[in-house]
Amino acid sequence: MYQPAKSMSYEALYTAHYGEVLRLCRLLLANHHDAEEIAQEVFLKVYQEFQKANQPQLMTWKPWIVRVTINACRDRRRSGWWKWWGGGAAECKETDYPNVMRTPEDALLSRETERRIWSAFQQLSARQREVFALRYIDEWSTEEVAQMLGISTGSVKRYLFRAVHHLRRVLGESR
Amino acid sequence: MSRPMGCLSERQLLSLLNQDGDFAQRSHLKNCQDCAAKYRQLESDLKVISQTLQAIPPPPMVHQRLAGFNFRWLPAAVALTLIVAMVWSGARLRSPANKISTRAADSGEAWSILDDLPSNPFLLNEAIAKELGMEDSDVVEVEAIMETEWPADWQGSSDASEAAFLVPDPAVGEDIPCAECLEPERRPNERTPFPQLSKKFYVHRMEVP
Repeated sequence: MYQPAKSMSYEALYTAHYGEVLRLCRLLLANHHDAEEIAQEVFLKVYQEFQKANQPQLMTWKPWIVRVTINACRDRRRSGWWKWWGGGAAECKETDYPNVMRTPEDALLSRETERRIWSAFQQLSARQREVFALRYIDEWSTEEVAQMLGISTGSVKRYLFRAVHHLRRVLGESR
Repeated sequence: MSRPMGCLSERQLLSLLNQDGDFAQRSHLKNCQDCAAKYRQLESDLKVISQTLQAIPPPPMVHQRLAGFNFRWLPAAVALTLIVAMVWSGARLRSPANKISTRAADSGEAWSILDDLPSNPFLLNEAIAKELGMEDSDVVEVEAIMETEWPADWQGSSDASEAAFLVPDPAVGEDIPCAECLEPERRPNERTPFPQLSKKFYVHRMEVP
């Protein structure tokens, strides 16, 4: 049965969070095609949960969506063929991200530095990547990150420090 | 009065950046130029990293396709492949079938057999007849017989159109000479140069209805 109120709310949910989910998937998987696929899977789950929920408008969806996204990315990374294929970063075109606004400061960054940062980010452990992405890209607080990932705040700080230390070291080398 | 502190570590600066530092650290950061500079540098680095990861798509990293492949095992894998190939080829060379062929090839026996064969396959009848010690007239007779009719089992049974021409000729009759009949008494241990071929060209008695 068609439910207009729910459908509209779901559409709003999709519009509000799809970009964030796609970005998080892209960070965790470093592959645009995989990221899109996982984002679609996530929103399928969101839709199913939305249909089951009694009052979906009152639910705080964002932390739930982030948790589902992280779990979906983990599942993808653990899948056999993805491991075999190396979880390779497929070629992404900048035109895939039309909303990206590059400031003059960004333009100053050399291509080599960008490549180094991405490479260093891919060298981080899965948990470090998750913590860094949630804390500094999605800008969640340390406590919220800990809650989403089901770990203590101390662990979040530890992962965060290691990730930042590694990334800064690589960035310092490229200067 | 607060205890004098040394400069802040990177971990403490990160804590401060994450709004987790205590009052003493904050006051030190306000007073220490070095720590303030480090703090600003950390802030700037994190901004650059975050913006890069957020805004710029991942570059194509082809080498990651091979990330799962452990190159340390490559020499061992190559060596193992070579060993398996050597063992397999050794086993093949030692097999009985290959022994015969290689021995024959080594001694030139194979070439001598080929030399004995006539270049024209139609001369085989003559060669067989010579081998069997037949007169020229007998050879002509045998050839005539063979040209007239071939044994039924030599014909393609499935070929119906060809079978239509195989009407038994009463002129030839039942008493078609057979190679077995023509075969002379052979001395024991007598050896034909190509026994397989001579057997093939035996003409068997025809069954004329």
